Amino acid sequence: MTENQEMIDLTLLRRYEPVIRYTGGECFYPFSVERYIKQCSLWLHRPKIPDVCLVPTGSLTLERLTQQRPNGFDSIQYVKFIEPLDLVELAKLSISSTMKSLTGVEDQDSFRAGLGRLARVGYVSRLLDALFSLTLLLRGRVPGDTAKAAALTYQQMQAEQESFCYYGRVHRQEGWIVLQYWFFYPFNNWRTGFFGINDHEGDWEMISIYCTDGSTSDNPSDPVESIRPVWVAYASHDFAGDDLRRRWDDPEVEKLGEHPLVYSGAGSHASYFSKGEYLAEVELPFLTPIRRVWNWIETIWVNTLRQAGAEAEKSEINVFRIPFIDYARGDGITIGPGQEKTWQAALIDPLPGWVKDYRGLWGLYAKDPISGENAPAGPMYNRDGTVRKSWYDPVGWCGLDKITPPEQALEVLHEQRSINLKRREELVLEVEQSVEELKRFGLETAALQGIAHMETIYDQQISHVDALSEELDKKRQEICLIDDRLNALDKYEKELASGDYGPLRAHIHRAHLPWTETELRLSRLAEAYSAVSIGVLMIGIVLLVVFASHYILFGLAVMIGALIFIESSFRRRLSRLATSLSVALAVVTVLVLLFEFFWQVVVVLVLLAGLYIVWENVREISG
Amino acid sequence: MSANISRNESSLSPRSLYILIIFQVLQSLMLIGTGIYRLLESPWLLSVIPLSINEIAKDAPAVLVNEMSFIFVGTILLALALFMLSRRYTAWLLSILVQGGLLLYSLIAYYQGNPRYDVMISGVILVFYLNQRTIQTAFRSNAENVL
Repeated sequence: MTENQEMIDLTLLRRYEPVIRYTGGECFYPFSVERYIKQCSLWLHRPKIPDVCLVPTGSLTLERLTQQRPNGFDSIQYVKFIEPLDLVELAKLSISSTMKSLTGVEDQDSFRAGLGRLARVGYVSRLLDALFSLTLLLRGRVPGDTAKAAALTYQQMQAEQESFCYYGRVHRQEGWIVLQYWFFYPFNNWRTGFFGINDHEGDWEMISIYCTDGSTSDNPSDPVESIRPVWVAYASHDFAGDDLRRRWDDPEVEKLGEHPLVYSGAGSHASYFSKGEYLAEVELPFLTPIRRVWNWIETIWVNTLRQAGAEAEKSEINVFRIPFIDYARGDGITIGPGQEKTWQAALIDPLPGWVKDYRGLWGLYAKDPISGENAPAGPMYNRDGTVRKSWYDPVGWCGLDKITPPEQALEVLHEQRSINLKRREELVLEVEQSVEELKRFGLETAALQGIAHMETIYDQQISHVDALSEELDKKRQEICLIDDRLNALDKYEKELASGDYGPLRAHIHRAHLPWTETELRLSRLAEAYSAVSIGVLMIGIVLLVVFASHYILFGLAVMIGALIFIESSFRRRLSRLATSLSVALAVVTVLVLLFEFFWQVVVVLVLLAGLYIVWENVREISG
Repeated sequence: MSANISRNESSLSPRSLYILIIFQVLQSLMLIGTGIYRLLESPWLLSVIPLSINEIAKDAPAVLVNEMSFIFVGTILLALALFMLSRRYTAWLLSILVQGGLLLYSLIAYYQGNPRYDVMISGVILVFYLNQRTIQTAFRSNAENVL
């Protein structure tokens, strides 16, 4: 890469660099990898043996990080940012935070959860949540005090020299100029800080801006001025493909001048287009088969039996997933151009060693089998050392590979029209030939009809004529389709020429939207009830077993019934509850009837089928 | 997509509505009819042998509660069927609730060894018919005050 190109790329990155708004209470902001690594030690994990420290704290540099070390299969290299606090440090930290909270001198931008996530979802999800919390005791996880210690260390480092960094990359692919902004956070404290899914050391986040170059060889212009953003995509949890992407002129993409505004999730650092509180769901692997069976039953219920109710549930929360809230309120500090805190930009092109050569993890390897608590790998790699899709194919990553850059759209449209026209001409010619052939064979077949010794040949001829007719029909159908396509292309060409690129949101299948004010309008009582209900139910079951084991079934039914009734009252869904209960009773009754009268039911069904056929036939005869 | 479905399904054809109402009227007549029949059949009412006060006192409450309830429920269902003609959501909601109650009763009776299969079968047919997406959407679209 030439120095001039580097300058152009850096200018481009600077021109459209984002403004990120954080949630009050956020502890970690984009940081320098060099300073982070200096604070870390490098470790090697191999199965069945204790982890080995390769480079101790204080000696690790970016250069030493990238040294190639033969480790063997199944080995994992990782850096460790925080050593567990000793008791004295932990006590100091706890006393300090308690004093702050008691004296009311907490950070100005401290976090208040508000309406709890549990109040926003149903009881099945809350039960699963309780199970998920229990699994944390069995799975590997980042120790509880690590987040506090990480926050303390980060604050100290920032006090020495405050900096907010991003790592920029300009990637040219299929007519797109992709500006990637990579942000490295020393820690993700979503679980311990904001009631989220996980905690882990090191956190890489990214946003991409997809630009096109308006200059042509006939009309060369300023290499920076001619480049215009068309799309933008923010990385966010498990969302992928088209849903990640928004058009630059979409009102949902807020901008300050030419800088897109990003709302960062508290602790998780996931990026969002709008401020608000988002529902993030996690599905436990062992529930996947149950969910599939449930979906199958639901499909039959809704599509085959045409029953109501299930489609309403589908649009809401999946009961087999555990809900978490990602708070992207934007009420904390803001970093970006024109703000009090601004970016330090670093271009990662040509690729530095820490990007290209280090495939290990950027924080503690917590040995969590479902990986939520393990640190991520670098911007280029997945945890397993393979290259990230967002790195090797940033265009395909957000589903943009099927979209033609606007400057090329007319040219590509003309090409496509030529291909269609060419195929049409070929088909017209083929149809003419087929018609001639068909006529000849038809005539010959007519001549052969009724000649005694030619019967076999006549039959063959008939089959051949039929096949030719079918083939001819297919070709004519294809011509008809091509005509339709050509008409559509002509219409689209006019739209493109007038600058109309179609609806803004047509590509979005499932937009990730924050909770609305109405959805958040549940009472404090509902919140308190949601927080304690599952725990109370579990305690109730234990009390039943101990003190009233004879009435366990009755007691369980009463408790669950009461739970469901209260829940429905809070959510103003009593009518839906009543309907569901009636339907459930009908299903049970059907089972009872089948049990008692299976063969009679079969006979009745056969009789009904017979009557239906008779009715249909009689109707046909009677015209 | 869902908006389209709602629009299409809210236009319930009168035939589906009439079928629903006929079903419910038939069921209510069946309940009223069997109720009256059983009431008349009961020994304390039409017995040729004069019963003692004790015998009447022993049988009367059970018969009254059972059969009078059926007549009462049948009458309510009949009234609801008529209200459903004007596509009132409340009529639909109360109908499905009463059907649920009838099914609960018949399941308990089955469990106690006195099954009422006629109630079971008619209840099942009506609950599934009332819960049809087209029917429910048509009534919901007319809802003024949903609980």
